[in-house]
Amino acid sequence: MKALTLVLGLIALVPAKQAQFVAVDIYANSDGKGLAAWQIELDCDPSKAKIVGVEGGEKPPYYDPAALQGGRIILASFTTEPQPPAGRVLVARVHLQETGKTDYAVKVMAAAAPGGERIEPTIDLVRTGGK
Amino acid sequence: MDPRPDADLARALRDGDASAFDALYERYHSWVLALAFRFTKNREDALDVLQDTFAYLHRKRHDFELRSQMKTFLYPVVKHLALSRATLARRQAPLDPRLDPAAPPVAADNVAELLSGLSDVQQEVVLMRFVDGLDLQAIADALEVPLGTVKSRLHSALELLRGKNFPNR
Amino acid sequence: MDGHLDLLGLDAVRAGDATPEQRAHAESCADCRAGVDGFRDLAARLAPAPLDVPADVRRRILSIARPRRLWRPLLAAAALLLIGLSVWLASRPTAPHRIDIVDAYSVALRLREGRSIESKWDLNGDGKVDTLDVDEIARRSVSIR
Repeated sequence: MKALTLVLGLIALVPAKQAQFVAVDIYANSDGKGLAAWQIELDCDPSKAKIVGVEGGEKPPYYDPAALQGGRIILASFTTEPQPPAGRVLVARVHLQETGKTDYAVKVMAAAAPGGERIEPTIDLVRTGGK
Repeated sequence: MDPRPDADLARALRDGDASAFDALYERYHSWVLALAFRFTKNREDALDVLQDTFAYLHRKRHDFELRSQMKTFLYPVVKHLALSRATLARRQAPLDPRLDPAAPPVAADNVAELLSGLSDVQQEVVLMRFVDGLDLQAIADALEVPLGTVKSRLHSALELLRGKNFPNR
Repeated sequence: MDGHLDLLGLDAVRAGDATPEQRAHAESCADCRAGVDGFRDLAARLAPAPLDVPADVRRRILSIARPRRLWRPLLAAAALLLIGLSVWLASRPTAPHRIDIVDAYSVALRLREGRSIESKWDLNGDGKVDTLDVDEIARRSVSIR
């Protein structure tokens, strides 16, 4: 599967050594096909931001608890409903504690439309909170 | 009553000690059955889940190492077995549409009334805390969510319950 | 809260896992004691009615750990069967190395639709492919190790 890598330069103007809590909303857009399954990797510099929590869009995604307090996490979820949401969908919200300027990189590792056909949705991030 | 702690019983079970299996059954069968009933809302299915749960525990005995509370280990097992049964029942005959296998358990009867207004995830955390007696870390481990998420859900649930059920402070 | 326990603190006192400071405060503060009593009352109202386990069910479960003895000829036949099974198991294709969430989804879909599923997806080795295996596939997909 061709990996889609999106590097989003989100600059957090945070004074050195002062932490702030932010959330990064991850959206996936499968156009008209419907998103039945998705698996996404989020990366940031762990010396500048640590992952402290995860919330779902429709329901909490799978993730490895060992990723908490680090800078890399793999999130995934699926639904067996025959008509899952299509178009741009909020799939997860990742909560982070930032202590400095940081970029966030996200890539789709796997995704499928209803029935199991592998697809390549586009993804975008929206950072909220903090400065 | 077998005085050995759960970790010792788990080790003994791994070593083939049938009395350890008996002790774990005696210690947890009531709780497993009540939990299964919370998910299945049906006594016969709950008894089947009880049997399946202990069969699963016995099958996994060789690589079973108790790293947390026994209820933390058993909770997701019972939940999955019970919800699988609900999925199978749904395929075989039309049932109450509230029996969504993807959802946390729906509290029954008077409990539903007490917990009305709470979301499904809030209800689940309240029941795990108030009925199952799990501490917050055990709940987090059983549900595989961060401790902060459990605290947040419980806090918001208790705020709603305080307003409903007992005097304001 | 101006010196009072917050809701989680009150619940911790109720549940018996409060800190010494929280317990001491609850003992000396009437408002907080009332809050704790309210939670105790809620716990009592949430407690389910006990369910009995029929004697035959109990017997069946406890017999799981006590398999019956077999006669020698049957033992020999069972041993031969096990050897054959081991050979067959060793020749089975193993689960793919790079599993991902689409695999979990595909197995979950087949379970929901009642379709057959390859035994290679019995990741927890309990002899059947079910939602526990789906969860295991998903967990392995997101492992960062």
